Parts: sequence; structure tokens; C-alpha cells
Amino acid sequence: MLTALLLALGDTALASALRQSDIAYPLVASAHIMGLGLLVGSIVTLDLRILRIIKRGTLSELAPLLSRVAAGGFMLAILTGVLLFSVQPAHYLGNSAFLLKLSLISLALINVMVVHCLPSWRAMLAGQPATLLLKLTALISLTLWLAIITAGRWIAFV
Amino acid sequence: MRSKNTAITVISALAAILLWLPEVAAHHGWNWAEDKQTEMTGTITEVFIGPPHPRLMIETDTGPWQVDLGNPRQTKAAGFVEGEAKTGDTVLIRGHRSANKDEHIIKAVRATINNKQYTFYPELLRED
Repeated sequence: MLTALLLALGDTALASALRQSDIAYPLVASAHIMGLGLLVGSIVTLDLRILRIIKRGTLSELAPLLSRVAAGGFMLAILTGVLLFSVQPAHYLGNSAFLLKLSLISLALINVMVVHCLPSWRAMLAGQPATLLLKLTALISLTLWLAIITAGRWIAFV
Repeated sequence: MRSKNTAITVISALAAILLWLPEVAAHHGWNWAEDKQTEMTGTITEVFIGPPHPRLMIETDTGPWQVDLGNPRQTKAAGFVEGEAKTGDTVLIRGHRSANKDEHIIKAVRATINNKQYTFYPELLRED
């Protein structure tokens, strides 16, 4: 069912236009990279601040700002990612690096949900220092997003 | 503070120099392929013309091979557009095989299908 839906993306007029245009795909790919830059740039900064590897600034100010920039970057990356995928869905669904990347993204999103539900996240926004649990989630976040970038780049090499 | 500024200047300068070094070839270069140009005949099982990289999948005596064509612009310039080839057509590929024997990928310099030649890299074509 889901697979059929994903494969059908390739039959859309938009996918067809992306396949035929000389400039559309490179432009969408550029926007995808822009999304990754915003996402990873802000989330790595936030994670490092939570881990106290970066010490400047206060988390009560930085955390809402950086997590929102990361969310914006993520939306841009998803939107452009779906477009890039639509060019040849069957090819990507058979690519192990792509499938690994999707699994890792779902883990990273679960981590985001867990963090935002934690009482210590609320406490941190209110000015309390980050707890050990929060630092652990920051470490998980760092690891996952870096793995996602690597898996994504690997798509072209399998 | 002064030493920090010096460090930033040095790092920026090094980064700037790196950007001007010759491009490091990855997937789209030729380093991964043999220097030798060879020919291979097969039956087309899949045609993909589009970004990021047009390709053919073919079935040969030595099993299935992936044929990397030129980039989308080069492939179009070679005259290889939608409708030029279909599944089941016989194709003669002239190009460079992957240097890794276990990897069944050939980078095509020219493809011949139905007596029509499509040359993706005219400047690299070597006639025997």
C-alpha cells in the first residue's frame, strides 16, 4: 500500500517535469542541501551546547531558537527530498543506503519527540541546567544526524 | 586574542587554497574505472534517462551490468533521449569497466543501439 503510493509518485507530472528539465533537479538538490545545512548546523550547535562542549549563551534562549531553525530546515529537506525521490522511486526503494537513511530519520524524530516530552527539557527552557538524561539525548541526536548525512551521501555509492 | 585571530586567518587561507585545488573525482569521475577501453554487448533490461545520472541496465553473458551514461546534459547532447531505446533492444557499449572486478558497472563512452551510435564523450573515444 505504502510502496504503491511511493511508486506512484514517479508517475506524477511534477516527477516527469523534474526528469526532463535541465535546471529543476539541480535547483531542488541545492534547496535540499540548504535544508540539511540549516537542520544539522542548528541541531549540532544545540547538542554541543547541551553537552557543554560549547559554553557560551544560555540554553533558555538558544534551545527554542535552534530547535525552530532545525525544524524549518527539516521541513525544507523533507519537501525537497520527496521531490528528488519522485524522479526514480523504484530505484531508491531498492537502495540499501536510502532505506537505512529513512530508518535513521525515524529514530531521530522519535528522539525529538522524547526530548520535547521530558520534564527536564521544560526545566532547561526555564533556566535549569541540562540533566544527564538530556545530555544523553543530545549525544544520541548528534550521532543520528551525522549518520543520516553519511547514509544519504552513500546512496550514490551502492 | 591576537593568536586566535592569527589562527582564523591561517585556517581561512588554507580553506581558500583547498577550494582552488583540482577537483577530487568521486562517483562522476573516472578514477574508479579501468584505463582500458573495452566493448560489451547486452540486452537492455531498464532505461533511465534523467537526473542525477542516466543509465541502462543490461543482461550480458557475464550477468547483469549497470551502464552509466553521460550526465543528463551530455546524454541529451549525444542524441540519447526518451524513445531511442527500449527494454529488449541489443546494445553494444564501448567504455571503461569498473576497476573492481566484483562491481558490474561500465562507464559508457559510446553506445550503439539499432545501428545508431550515441557518443557521450566524443573527446575520449578511442578507435582500435
